[in-house]
Amino acid sequence: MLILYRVDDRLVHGQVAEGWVPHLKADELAVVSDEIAGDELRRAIMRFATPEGVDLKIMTVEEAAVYLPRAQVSARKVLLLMPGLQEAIALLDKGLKIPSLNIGGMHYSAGKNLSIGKAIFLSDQDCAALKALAGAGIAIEGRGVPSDSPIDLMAAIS
Amino acid sequence: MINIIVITHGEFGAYLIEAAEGIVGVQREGLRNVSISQRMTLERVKEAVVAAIADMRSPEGLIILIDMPGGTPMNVALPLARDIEKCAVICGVNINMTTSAFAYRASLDFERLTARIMEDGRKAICEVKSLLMKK
Repeated sequence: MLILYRVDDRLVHGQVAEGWVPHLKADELAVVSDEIAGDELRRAIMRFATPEGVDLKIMTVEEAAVYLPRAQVSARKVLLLMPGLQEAIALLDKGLKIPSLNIGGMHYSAGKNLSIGKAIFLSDQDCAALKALAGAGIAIEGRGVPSDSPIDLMAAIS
Repeated sequence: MINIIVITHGEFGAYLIEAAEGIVGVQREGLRNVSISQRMTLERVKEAVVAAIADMRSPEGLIILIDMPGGTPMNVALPLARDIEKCAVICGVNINMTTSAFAYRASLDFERLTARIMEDGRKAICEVKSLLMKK
């Protein structure tokens, strides 16, 4: 089963390895990013940051569209990590059912002028993407680690 | 819940806690920091550590994280910890030990948590260029 659908531009890092993985007792991290899938050093860094006893799969969007529906019905607890909203929209377009989306980190860069909490910075494009995802019936929350209170992102951007 | 005290030279421990909480979440209870300033007399250091230990003693266990083996924090904490069952004094604290302590204090028992903190701390020390980059 997919136990968390998360957007976090840091992908595998401390909040995931020490926060979500033990909290949800994840068996596997599934990273969906065309860029990382083609970058040997970043793949090695991510493997290095993955806790022992937890599997790591790094795949392109294309591969994920085939793999994730199978993961949804398997007994293994899979935590899905996407670097941005575009990956979530691409997976949705390819038919993946996404019940909820956790926004863990979208860091500042030029044009991301709306800041929500400590680690979420949104451009106009990001807001439009979030509205499209919410419009598809996906429950969206902003939350870094399990013990944080979730932020109602859609209320914050409306 | 296993309680935690961080005792360090200067404000190191306070910043370490802030950084670790940013990674694994705010610890709402069962955590004390004692920052030892050079302006404090040894008596005041002892008082601060005694008060923190009195507050944080727990039947489930108490873990004291300390920066340097052989420094004042260790020298003060060790005799106070001697007669407390389920109390560990762990030196060499780094951020991985701190996040590990916070992340697993509710789910592991005292012995396992102590072992886990030391293991994660040791694993964090590595030269990553030779480890991750091919020549």
